[in-house]
Amino acid sequence: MVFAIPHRRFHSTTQYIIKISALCILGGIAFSGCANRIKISLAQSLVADVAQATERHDDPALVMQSMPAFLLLLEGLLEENPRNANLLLTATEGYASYATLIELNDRERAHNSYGRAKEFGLRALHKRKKIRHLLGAPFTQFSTITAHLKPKDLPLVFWTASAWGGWISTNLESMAALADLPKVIHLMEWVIGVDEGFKHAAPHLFLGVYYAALPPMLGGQPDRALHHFNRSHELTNGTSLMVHVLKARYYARQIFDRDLHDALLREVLQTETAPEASDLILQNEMAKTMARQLLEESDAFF
Amino acid sequence: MHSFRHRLARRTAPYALLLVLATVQALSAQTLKVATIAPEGSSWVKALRSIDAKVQQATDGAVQLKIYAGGVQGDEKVVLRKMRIGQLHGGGFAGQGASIVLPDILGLQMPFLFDDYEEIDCVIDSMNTTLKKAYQDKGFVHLGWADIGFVHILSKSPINSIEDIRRHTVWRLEEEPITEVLFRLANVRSVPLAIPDVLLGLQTNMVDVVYAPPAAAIVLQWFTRVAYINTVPINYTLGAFIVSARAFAQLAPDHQTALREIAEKEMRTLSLKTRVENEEALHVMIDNGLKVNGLDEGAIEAFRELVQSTQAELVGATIPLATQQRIDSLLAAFRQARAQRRD
Repeated sequence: MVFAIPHRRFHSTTQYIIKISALCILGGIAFSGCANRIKISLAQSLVADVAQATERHDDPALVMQSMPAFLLLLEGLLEENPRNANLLLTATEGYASYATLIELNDRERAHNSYGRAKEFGLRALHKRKKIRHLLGAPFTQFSTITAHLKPKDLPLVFWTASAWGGWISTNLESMAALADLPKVIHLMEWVIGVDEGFKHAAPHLFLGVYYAALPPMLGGQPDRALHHFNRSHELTNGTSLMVHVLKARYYARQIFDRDLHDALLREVLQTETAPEASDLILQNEMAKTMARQLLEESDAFF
Repeated sequence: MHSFRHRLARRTAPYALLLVLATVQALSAQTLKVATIAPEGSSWVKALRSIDAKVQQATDGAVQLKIYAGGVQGDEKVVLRKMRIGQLHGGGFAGQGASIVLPDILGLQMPFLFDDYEEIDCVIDSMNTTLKKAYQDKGFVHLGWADIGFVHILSKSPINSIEDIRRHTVWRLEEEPITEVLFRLANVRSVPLAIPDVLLGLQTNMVDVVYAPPAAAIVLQWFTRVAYINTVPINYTLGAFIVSARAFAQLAPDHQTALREIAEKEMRTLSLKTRVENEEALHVMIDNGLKVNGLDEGAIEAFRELVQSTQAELVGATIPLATQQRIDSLLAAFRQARAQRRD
């Protein structure tokens, strides 16, 4: 669940600029509009590069400190192009990922970042005519939204639902926020149906946390949570250490199993990121930081 | 070298002594283990954390709470059992816990008893000493009340009268004595289900009428499976922060006083917050498409008569007669005084 662009959109920035410039000149498009498009393209290329570098970085603190500047750059671009679909997706993903990074230490700021991410995501979904009227509708109507979603919508739906879920979980006192939860779960169930392995099986992790975080008295389902955590582990061949960390933090704590809790976290601290999982370096480093913190809290919790 | 070490030892000795004292104090700190089903981040848990922080401050760290949130210690019955065997020391009861210990509380939760919070506050204030003593007699120390809230009917089709209810299948909370008697005497078809099974019950049409305080209806997501909410409150429900008398007795007398005063104040703040949350929740559900319906005066009267008939069965058997009489007379006196004030 760490910042990343799903696909790089072009091979070489220079190639792309030349192509765009040529098209602009040939088409006789006004220069200002063309410059703007070049600026967006350049920025998006930069975003893609930075995103990939970020995923592979091994210092979460450095990434945490540098991301705000990057997010501001995106905001700047969005000022000029408030309805650009790619920028909106990148901003949704960027703010949601940043919030995940800081949530453990700064819940309030994380809440605000999730909120921004959610707004960008919903703005992008709002561009779609068939979906627009459903977004604010009661759950029964809202639930028909999935009939209008296409597989290519998956990244946007995933990041919007992630951000929305984070925004709710950092704001449990708000009734209006809590009332949105069924919508978020519905979207995430759709994502799992389309591509359960998306972003290192992150949709399974999300639902694992959801079913484990709630006490059974309030609708939590530890068994279902366990299924999602295990599936996430399987799909990532055990390379994603965050699976163990979240399973310890939510599932093991909910069923009050200290042995399992500590064993999972110790395993995380002893495991190095597999060479084939270079996209997970940052996330796994984060997982280790969280594992250390959760282990320290173990006495206090159990 | 020797003299330097000597000087150093002399200078650091007082600090070392302080450190030792602090360690001794930390080791002798008394920890009250308190569990609640309310999740981390909820108003309930925030209130308990605030009590913990303030009690630590007031007792210079001698007393602290260890809070188990989110039901990790089991449901309220399990928590009570663990309190009895000393495995846990206290519970923040947001469900039936308070009335399981003391059935007198059911008297305050009778349908169509209270009309508003003013009535509730007056009656509970007047009975506070008696009820606290009753908890004490059962081996518990009561440290504060917390509203769960007024319960409202949620349904798939509009409910305006008892006849409407009789046409449907109504959910009933397992092992809850009032509704068991009420529905039986009213000839209402009801299905007993545990709270976590109700959502599925609504999805599969096993039940089509449920009831809950608005905030609970949102948290449990029941509002997504019904179309109507009745704005007439059916009954008031009440929770409490309770610790075992044995654990409480271990605390120094001034620490007991500090804990009582702090908890009482924080729980009152929580109650007022819950009232706001329930109000907000009602509006949120309406914003989320629930249609509003009410009960006409005739229907309310018919309900009241039904409740009267259930009282014959419940009072004396489940709810102590003296408690019910006290509640009734306090409420009547309050209503009379209020009517006079208004005149």
